[in-house]
Amino acid sequence: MKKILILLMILGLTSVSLFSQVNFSGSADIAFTANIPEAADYSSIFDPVGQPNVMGLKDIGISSSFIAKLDAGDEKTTFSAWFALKEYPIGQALLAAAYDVAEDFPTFSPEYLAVGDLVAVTGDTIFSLDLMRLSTNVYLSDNFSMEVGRQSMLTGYGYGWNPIDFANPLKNPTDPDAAMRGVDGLSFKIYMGNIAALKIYGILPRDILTSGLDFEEIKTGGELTFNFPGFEWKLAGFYDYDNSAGSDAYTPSIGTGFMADLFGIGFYGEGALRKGSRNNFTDGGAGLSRKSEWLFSALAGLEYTFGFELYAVLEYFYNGEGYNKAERSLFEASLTALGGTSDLFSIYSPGYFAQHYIMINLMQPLYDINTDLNFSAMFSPDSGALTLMPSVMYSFSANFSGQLAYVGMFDLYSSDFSEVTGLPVKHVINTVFTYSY
Amino acid sequence: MKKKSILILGIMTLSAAFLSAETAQQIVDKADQAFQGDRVYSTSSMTVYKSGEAQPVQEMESFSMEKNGKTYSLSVYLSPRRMKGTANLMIEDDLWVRFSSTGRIRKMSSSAKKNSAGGSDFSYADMGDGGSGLSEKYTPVLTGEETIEGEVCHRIELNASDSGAPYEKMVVFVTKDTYRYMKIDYYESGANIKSMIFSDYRTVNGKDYPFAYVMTNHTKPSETKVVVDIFEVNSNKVQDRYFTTGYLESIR
Repeated sequence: MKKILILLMILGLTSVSLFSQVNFSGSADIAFTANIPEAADYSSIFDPVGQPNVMGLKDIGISSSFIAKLDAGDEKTTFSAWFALKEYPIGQALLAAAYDVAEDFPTFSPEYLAVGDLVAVTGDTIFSLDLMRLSTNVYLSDNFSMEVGRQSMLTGYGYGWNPIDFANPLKNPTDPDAAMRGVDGLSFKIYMGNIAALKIYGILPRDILTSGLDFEEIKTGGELTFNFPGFEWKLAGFYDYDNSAGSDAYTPSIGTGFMADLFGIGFYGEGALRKGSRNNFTDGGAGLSRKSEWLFSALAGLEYTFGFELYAVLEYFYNGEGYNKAERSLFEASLTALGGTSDLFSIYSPGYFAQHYIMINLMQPLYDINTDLNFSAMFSPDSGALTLMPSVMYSFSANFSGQLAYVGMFDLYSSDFSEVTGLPVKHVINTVFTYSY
Repeated sequence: MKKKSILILGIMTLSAAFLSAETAQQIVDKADQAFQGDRVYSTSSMTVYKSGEAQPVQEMESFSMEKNGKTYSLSVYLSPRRMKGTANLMIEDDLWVRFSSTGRIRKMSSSAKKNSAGGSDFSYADMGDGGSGLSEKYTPVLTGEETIEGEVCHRIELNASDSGAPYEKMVVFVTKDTYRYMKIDYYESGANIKSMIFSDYRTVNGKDYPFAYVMTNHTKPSETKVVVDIFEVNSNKVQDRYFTTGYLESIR
């Protein structure tokens, strides 16, 4: 019954919008990635079985993706559906999963060989259709709106990190402008003139359409934003019923953030307290556990646009959920003991593994030649991981562009274990062609 | 006798200067009336010419409002596809940008307002300011008259009187008989960096408004032409809730 009601609500709200103006837009990408390995055999600590290149990394990778956006709206309602069709290299993962750690290289088990044959016949990539957004926003009055469905709840002031973004999955600081999947929920916004705005939301479990939910499973949050001339301030809070005991990426949290404009320079900061960590910590072996104490994370940054159009961002991020030196050593020991399991992979993410990060981002548009230059550098002073990301984008026309990018990862402290140490490939050249329609 | 003459001459000079400043203010106030409206809605097409070569047309929908002494403006790109859904919200000197690729809203520092909007010769400030009139943050001084596009115009210098003024000086040319802006020269560091010429004036709600204008850049071979398609004053299409970051989130 609950499922039917929710479906009816969504259908009812969306059908109102579907009869108004409808826009169809999106983009199609094709990317060529050149991996420059440290050694010819691609051997790394992330090889699940410690054998050369069992992950099947190739010198050149080709991938494609397609994003379709269906948007509609009228005076009071808007409707959005964003679909992302992406190609994933599943063959290597299947082979790795079929590999028996006990077997002696180069002798493979029948299961492994069978999977290999299957991949050879059916291809080693699959396409996945992801629903990025599916929501309807309704203005119930000039000062009150409601949005239901899969929606974006991005918030905060940081370019690379947003400690006060409690509702979304972690943003990738090496690609902060990437479109992110929304979260399933119901949100209400109340606008108090232009001085303040209150947002209250509930996040629904992802399997709501198949299994329904109990009331206590709804995670709730709120955000209060105050606007003053040259100054904006946010207070945010989040309640998670299971108090981080589950396996999701939510914890009870409170936080605050601000942005001040002084002499044309944007100064901003975010600070958050979380009751427990969203990621696991290792004991050097097979044991994985989350921290349960209050953890503090913070961001400080400034941004400025120079007269010659150069846009510059400088940020410092303190990651309270990151690993200190001793914890990174335990993590390394666990990797050696367990191999690159998916649990460990998810922890080993750029910009979140260590505790301290500094980032600089420079973007220079060259309008006369339809070109954008971009340079980002992210450095972790405690782990020694340095990531350099220069790129150049050229617009062939209003709708077609090409981007050439290099990502170089350097492990500056050889005695320390960082998010770069174990990677099989530390230098990547990427070319992406994008058509917008 | 000589001292008296000098004193009278001095008073007359000061009075004339005062009167001319007052006259200059009156002239620009009258010219500004075309740009002042409680709620203005417009759609326009913008074409940038680089070295004479036309770039893809940018179409835009704009909303502006004056309320409680504050100026509000919202510009939403309708095309090209790559920019569709990109929006700029300005409330006085505060600027928020919605990025269409991610739907994310980001508050920008005011330094961004001086820079090019969408690669055109207009800055964010050019596009967002003006709801209170072009002379709002400047002190006008009448400096003579010139003929522009066949029209005899007052030549008035507008010197920045507010730290929030986007340019250090503007020289505006206002027709003597109809009080229409015909041309504006923009100055930075003492140099005339760009000029805007207005044309195709039409009367809307009793006010003359230019339906075409061209911004010519003097620092590089670039020019931007704007053609206004729809212009409505006191439009019911402009609602208070449009000028909130919450509305930016709902733009599609």
